Amino acid sequence: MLEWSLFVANGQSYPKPINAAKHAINDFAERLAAQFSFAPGDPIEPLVRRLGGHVVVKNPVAFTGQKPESIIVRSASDFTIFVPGMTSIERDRFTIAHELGHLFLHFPAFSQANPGVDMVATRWVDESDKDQQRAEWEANWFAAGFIMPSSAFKAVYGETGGDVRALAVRFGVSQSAAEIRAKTFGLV
Amino acid sequence: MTGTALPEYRVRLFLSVDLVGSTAFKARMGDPLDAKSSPNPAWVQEMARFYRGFPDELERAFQNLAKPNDWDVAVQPPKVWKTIGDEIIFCCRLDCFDHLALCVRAFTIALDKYGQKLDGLERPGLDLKGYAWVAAFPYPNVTVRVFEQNSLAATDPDLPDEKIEKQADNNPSAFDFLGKDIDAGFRMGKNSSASSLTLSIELAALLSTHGDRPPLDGVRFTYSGRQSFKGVMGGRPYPVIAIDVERSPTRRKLRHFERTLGGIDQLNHPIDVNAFALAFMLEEQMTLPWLKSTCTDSIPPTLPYDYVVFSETWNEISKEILEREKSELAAATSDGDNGKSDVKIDDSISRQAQEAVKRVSFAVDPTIIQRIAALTPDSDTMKHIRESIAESRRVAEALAEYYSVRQKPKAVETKAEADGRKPRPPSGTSEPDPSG
Repeated sequence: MLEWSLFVANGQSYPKPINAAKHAINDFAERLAAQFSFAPGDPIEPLVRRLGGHVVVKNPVAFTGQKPESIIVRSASDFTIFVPGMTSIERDRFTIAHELGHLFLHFPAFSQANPGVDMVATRWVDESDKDQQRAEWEANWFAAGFIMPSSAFKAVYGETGGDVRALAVRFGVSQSAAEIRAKTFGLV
Repeated sequence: MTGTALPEYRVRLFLSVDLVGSTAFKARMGDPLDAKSSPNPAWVQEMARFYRGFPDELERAFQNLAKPNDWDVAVQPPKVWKTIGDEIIFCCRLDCFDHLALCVRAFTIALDKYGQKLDGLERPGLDLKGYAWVAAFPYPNVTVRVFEQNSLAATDPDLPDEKIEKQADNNPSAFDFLGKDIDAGFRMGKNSSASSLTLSIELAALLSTHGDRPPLDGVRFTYSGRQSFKGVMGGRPYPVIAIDVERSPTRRKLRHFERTLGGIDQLNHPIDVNAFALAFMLEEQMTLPWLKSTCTDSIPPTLPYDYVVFSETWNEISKEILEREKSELAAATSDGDNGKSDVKIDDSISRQAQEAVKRVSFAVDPTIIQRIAALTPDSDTMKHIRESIAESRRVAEALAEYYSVRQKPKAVETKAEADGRKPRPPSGTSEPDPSG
């Protein structure tokens, strides 16, 4: 525990952005989901287990005053994702996909630069830190592509006549996440 | 998340009434002879009356009771939460102690009035029994919306908030309430008998606080020792305190003698009940729910410690969700390229991802091994199974490798070559021959 806090404090263990294009990250995530045979609406926790990771439900109370961690990556096949208790299934699903984004996008470069060091991403970052903010955005692009792949999303959008509730149910996301995704594709 | 508010501390009262003897009544009144005279068997009619009649009786009793001077007319009587078989359960968010007293008193009156009605109808064997308990929300008990087809209710926030709790206050039947106090309430209620209204220890403690003033004056508490209930307090005996709602004076007298002869302590006076309930809760480290005294009571609340912890946790999680949503929206709406629109995914990233794909494809679900281990205590057999799984994985990997190599030259393969090709899967751990 102490070690993690030190890393967080030093800013040594944060994921660094890869600065790839938004569409490149989205396509990468979509391809990866397909390779994992991860279909829209599939439960994401079993995939985390197969990847060697764990999902831990943890209340952030003990961390008041500092930014609690959301993923600790010890190696590409050994990591822990923390989700807060009380949140909805849909929220947790997007959060887990976001953390997988850190694992797949940011850990390869991190492990090369810092061999043997754990990578730790926090639940939120300082807005003034543009690098960290960019890494967060990349993880979000990854998550959206991973759980709402474009072709499937557009197909369901057409099938349901743009019913946000139906979209949210099919992809296992919140209605606001489905709405944002529809906007991204210029559907609304 | 915009506009979400921390759920306020609240105490809900649960009141259950059960038509006892209804199974025997059904058996008796559901026979073909009875069916000849009416399209419905008598028990169907009786149940239909009960479902409609008892809630009306309760509401009438609540409205007829004299209210305190500072009573707030907006404060509601209990509403039907759910019906299960022959049982109706009411639920109500308690505004203050006066409200609790009125609800419980109204319930005892409704039990009495409806019971008299059954007596008058000469329905032999039919009677009512009740039990009641209180539970604190949003912690340690939780409010969950019941799934509704085609409802707009799916717009529930990422984190349960005050809005959900308010909706549940107004329309409890669209919600479920879960938690240790709800479980304990149900278990404890199974012990209740006709002509008594069994109370949870927390409810007994609250009610007896002001049990000697209207509208509770004249209410008789009874104590019939302790009993173990599965899943309640780890099976340690739980005190059975009830309100006597016996209608027959002779039966009441008889029971009094019985208790005295049996040497079971009488806890008749509310002060004794209160002292006992509080001492018991202290010993068992139970939390006494907090209620303000009257509708207009403005004394700052003494909220239980676990709610204080809950609110800190809730605020932290709420902050996290707000930050995440802000970042998600910003990421989605920005093109985010910063002049990097042609920057591709680095090779090292793709490589690591492909290793993960390979690993996941051949990963054996760890729960399968756990399940096998549970079936097979013999360590030699287990070792053999593990080795077989490892071996199968090596074969599968080698096969995948073999076919991925085979696929590449396929485009330039001549028909003759393809016709002459015979799949030659590698065996065991031996490396496949890339030349095919």
